[in-house]
Amino acid sequence: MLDPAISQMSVNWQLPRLRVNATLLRQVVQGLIVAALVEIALLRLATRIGVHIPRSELASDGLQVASFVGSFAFNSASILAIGLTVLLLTLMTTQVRDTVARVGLAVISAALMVSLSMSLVTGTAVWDGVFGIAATLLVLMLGVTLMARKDVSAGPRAAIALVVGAYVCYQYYSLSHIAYRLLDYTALPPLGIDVLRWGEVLVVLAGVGVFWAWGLPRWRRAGRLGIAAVAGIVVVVGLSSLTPSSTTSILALWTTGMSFFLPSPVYLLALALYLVTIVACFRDEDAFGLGAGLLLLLVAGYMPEATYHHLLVILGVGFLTGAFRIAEEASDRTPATISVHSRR
Amino acid sequence: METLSNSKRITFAIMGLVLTGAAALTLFDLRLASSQTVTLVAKRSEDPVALDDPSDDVWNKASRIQVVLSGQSTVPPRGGDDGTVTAGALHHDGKLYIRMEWSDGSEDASTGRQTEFSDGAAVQFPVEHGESVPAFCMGNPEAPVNIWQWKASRQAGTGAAVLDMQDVYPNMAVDTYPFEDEAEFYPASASGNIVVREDRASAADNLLAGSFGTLTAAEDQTVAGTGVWEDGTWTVVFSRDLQAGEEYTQFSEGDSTNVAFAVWDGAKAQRDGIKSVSQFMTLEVSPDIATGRAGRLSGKDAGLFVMVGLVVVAGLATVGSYLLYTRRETA
Repeated sequence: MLDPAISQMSVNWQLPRLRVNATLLRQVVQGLIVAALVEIALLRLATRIGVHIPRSELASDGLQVASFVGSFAFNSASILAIGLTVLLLTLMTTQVRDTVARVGLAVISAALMVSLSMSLVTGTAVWDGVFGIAATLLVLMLGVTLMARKDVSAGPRAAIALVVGAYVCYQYYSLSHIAYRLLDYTALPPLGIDVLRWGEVLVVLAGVGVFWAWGLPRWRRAGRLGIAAVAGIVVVVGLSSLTPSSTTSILALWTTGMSFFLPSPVYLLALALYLVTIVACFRDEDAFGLGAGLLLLLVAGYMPEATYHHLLVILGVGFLTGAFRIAEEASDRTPATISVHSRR
Repeated sequence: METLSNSKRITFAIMGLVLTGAAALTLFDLRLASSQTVTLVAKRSEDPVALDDPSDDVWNKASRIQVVLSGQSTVPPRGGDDGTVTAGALHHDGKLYIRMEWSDGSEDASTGRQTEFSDGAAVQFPVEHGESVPAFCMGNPEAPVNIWQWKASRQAGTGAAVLDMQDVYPNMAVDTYPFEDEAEFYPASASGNIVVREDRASAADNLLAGSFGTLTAAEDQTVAGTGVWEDGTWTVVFSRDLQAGEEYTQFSEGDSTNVAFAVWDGAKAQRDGIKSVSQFMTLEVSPDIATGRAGRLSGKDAGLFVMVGLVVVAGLATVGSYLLYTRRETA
């Protein structure tokens, strides 16, 4: 039995140096979600719907305003995503006590942030590659860590495995092309398209897995209004493939990055289950992190097109694996009582 | 209470900084993100690129990417398949060459009958490259796109070999064609419709669009294209000067823009919006000399592979140790 004073010193020595207020963290995350949704609504959807609007000065002005506000939201979301990623990586690094793991995590984190900066400035393939490798390793690390925990049930393990698997599949396609480009190979990377298709299957399965893990236990919390909203979205998306009305089809958010080689009802079912889970999580006070994580992954899409989208994937998986719950708990307790790995 | 107040104050301060930074970036038309899409690199070829031979050896030195296609689902008529196209690019002597290669079980080059449709391919670029990428489906009114379109039927009907009904129906009989020699009775031809151009020098057209329903033949038909069908595969090469009129996409060494691809399968009655399309990728026109290799490792490359391997192993080791640590803690 250790002397309480010694134990206290030991714990204090291991504690993260950075303290984050849970309320503040939640507000910043809410800001990121709002900015990301505004960006989707005004920058991605409005510009696509805009091409259907009859040409008029008013419509044109309206679209320009939407595009400007959407760009503003995109930059706001991007700044918040960078800030939160730095915070997540700092917390992860400082809370790992194993020296090798800490050094490794610090190196990967540094590689991610340096390559992000260099990619923004230079746009060269080398830095894109470093960024991609670092992002993949971090997502893998977060996922594997969750799956290794004994206190995690099969549902979350399966859901995280599917989400991480889909991301890794896309990253294989993207990074293998970058590697061949750097090596000046004219051959095509092996299995590139096949792996991309497998990833799309994993995305669809992830819709079911996510519902099983986090939606099923709390689906009643979604409420009639939530279920109706999800049903409305799914019906609109479903009808869009049947009706000649072109405007509705572009409401299908999942079109970006998906080739739709599976039957469309499969995608609709996966989307419905995924959306119900998001609504149920947001209506459960204790599951805000899960809802935020799932929503950020949806915004990022299957094929992250920009560095910002990759950061959303890291943050999304970070939320789903409880990495940010550490921060919330850490901020609300006195240093001596923090127990990072005995949380519930 | 005081803590809550402080928390709110900090939140307002953070949000204020974020919004100020975002506003500054937006006013300067900048985005705080870089593209992570797959990049097609057009390197400089030291050898001339034969436009009439898409299987020319010079393409063995060009980098290639494999692009996913899916059915066009944004606007009626919808359709198309999920497939792939392999794209390559080079530039030589002030000209840009784009090569597309895709599987197609049949060569469909005739449109003489109402039930016949042509195989085809197209490459699309934003007219002006900027932070905002146009909608991949034919662009936006404020962000138009430049499209290079090749059709097998136009190649069959290039120059003097324009399709004649007598070729399609050899036994047809016509008593008389009234006003046969009067141009106003051939409205498509008289209005300059590109489908019936008889002065065509190439099977590729230079087109502009600012959303669907606005596809228009450009005034300057400066794009050339040739396709070859062999053993169930179409290979098409497009070519144009790097620099063209300002209403078209400009290319220059060191610059990047976006590029998207589309393919039509005539045997499946694909035409117009019924086509297989890709999302926008990145096209980089590089000043580097194309010396591409098929895949053999040199000493330098092996070193790079070892470096990448080490990074991956280090990452996996980190994952492993982190895993071990977590197990120990939760046990």
